[in-house]
Amino acid sequence: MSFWEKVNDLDRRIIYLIIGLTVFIPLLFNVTMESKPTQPVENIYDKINSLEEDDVVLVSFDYAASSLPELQPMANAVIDHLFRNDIKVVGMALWPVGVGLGTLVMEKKAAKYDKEYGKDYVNLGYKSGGLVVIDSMGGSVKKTFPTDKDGVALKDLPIMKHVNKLDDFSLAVTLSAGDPGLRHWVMVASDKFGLPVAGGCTAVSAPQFFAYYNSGQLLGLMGGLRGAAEYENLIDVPGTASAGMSAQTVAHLMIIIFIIIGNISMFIIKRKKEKEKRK
Amino acid sequence: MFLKRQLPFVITLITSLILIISYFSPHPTISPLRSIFQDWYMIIVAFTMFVGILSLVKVSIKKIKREKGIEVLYPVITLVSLIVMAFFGFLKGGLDNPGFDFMFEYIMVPLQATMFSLLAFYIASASFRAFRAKSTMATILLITAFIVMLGRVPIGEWITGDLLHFTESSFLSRFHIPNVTEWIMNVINMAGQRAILIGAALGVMGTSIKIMLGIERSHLGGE
Repeated sequence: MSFWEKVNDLDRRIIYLIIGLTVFIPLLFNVTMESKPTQPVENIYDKINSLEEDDVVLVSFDYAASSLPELQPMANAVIDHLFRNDIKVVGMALWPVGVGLGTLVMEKKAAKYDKEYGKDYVNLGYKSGGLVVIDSMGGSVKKTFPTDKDGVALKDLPIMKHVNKLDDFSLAVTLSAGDPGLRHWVMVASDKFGLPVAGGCTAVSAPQFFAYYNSGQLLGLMGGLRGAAEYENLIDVPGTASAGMSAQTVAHLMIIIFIIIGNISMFIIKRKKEKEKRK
Repeated sequence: MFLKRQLPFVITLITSLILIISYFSPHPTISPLRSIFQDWYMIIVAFTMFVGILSLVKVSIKKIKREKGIEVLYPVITLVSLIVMAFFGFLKGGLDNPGFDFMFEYIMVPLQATMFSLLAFYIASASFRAFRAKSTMATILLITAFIVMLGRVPIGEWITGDLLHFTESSFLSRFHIPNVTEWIMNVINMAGQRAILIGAALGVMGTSIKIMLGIERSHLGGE
């Protein structure tokens, strides 16, 4: 067996080991790489900066833990920015696990900025129904979510005093890993009720949402870990996304190198076989 | 036959007509009906979770009876996890119950994240074995993937920015990797995505009309 044939039949465990090391080493040494912010991410940052104190922003945590490495840094960065600007935050989830993940972020950031539950932020919890839940909120938020996640009536919470319908929010930010999620927020909250909608999604689903961004239906978009790193860069609060970008960069390079090696081995073996045939 | 075929068809037709009309008209007779249907929908969807749990329990029990050796462990772990999580979820405090909170943060979240992270290894292995320039189209796909992968990480900016100084020249800046990536995403990708979106939307509309008119009856268990 020639060298290139051996390479072509490379044991997948070696590939796993190399990928594991390329991801692990940059994270271990905390190598950070700055990501230059792109326009779709800057739009979200600018919109939040343009909001006034006491404006209320709706943040929907529409993801599960499987997308946590990509979407949780976005949630951290956006909530940090909102609390820093003294903007009130109403959290909710169209995915059951999203409630817990949203709570983790909001409680952490609330402690950092000394925010009070019920006055500065609230977590409405999970409601099943996806698109219909958003549509129902367009009619009445308090009817759709009579209580917060802990069972406290929304009418008793100061933050909800002036929030009755979806268009009472200044902005909706949805962090979405699929359906129900960003697509439904665009279809209902943005298109039907005219609420500015910004979103964050996994890198793999970002290409489909650029169509909504370019048509103006989506105010801004954070795509994958890169989008989160760009937002962290904008607010100047480096987090797990900025740290993860170095690992992602090396992993991308390794995958490209693997593809190149795989193709070289394929061509060499093919040529060798053709030569042997001619003989 | 009436209960199985005609009645569901009539319910479907009336419900869909009310919902369509209410979307375009805020008439006071229609709006409350829409609100009632929304409530019903959310309640029915919530109940599907119970159906899901029942199905999971049924499948797991079947597996416990059928499997032998270590394979029995998997459905047992599934059932035990389900019962324990539900038990702590129903205790005082609900989602904030320390037991539930601990299992959510330190077991469920890391497990789900780990499962998804394994994709990186499979993608790397699959790209090495399957991503081959066997034809012109495959080669174009390969080159596009290279550019987008580099354009989505800081090293792409570095290669044609700091290293080759492409960004300093207005003409050459078009070939700056992040700019090429943006062009691919905003032009080529956009055209494809819009075609898919419009096609899918037309398909949904067509299927909806067929269901409303009773032409498509597979959801009723028919042909």
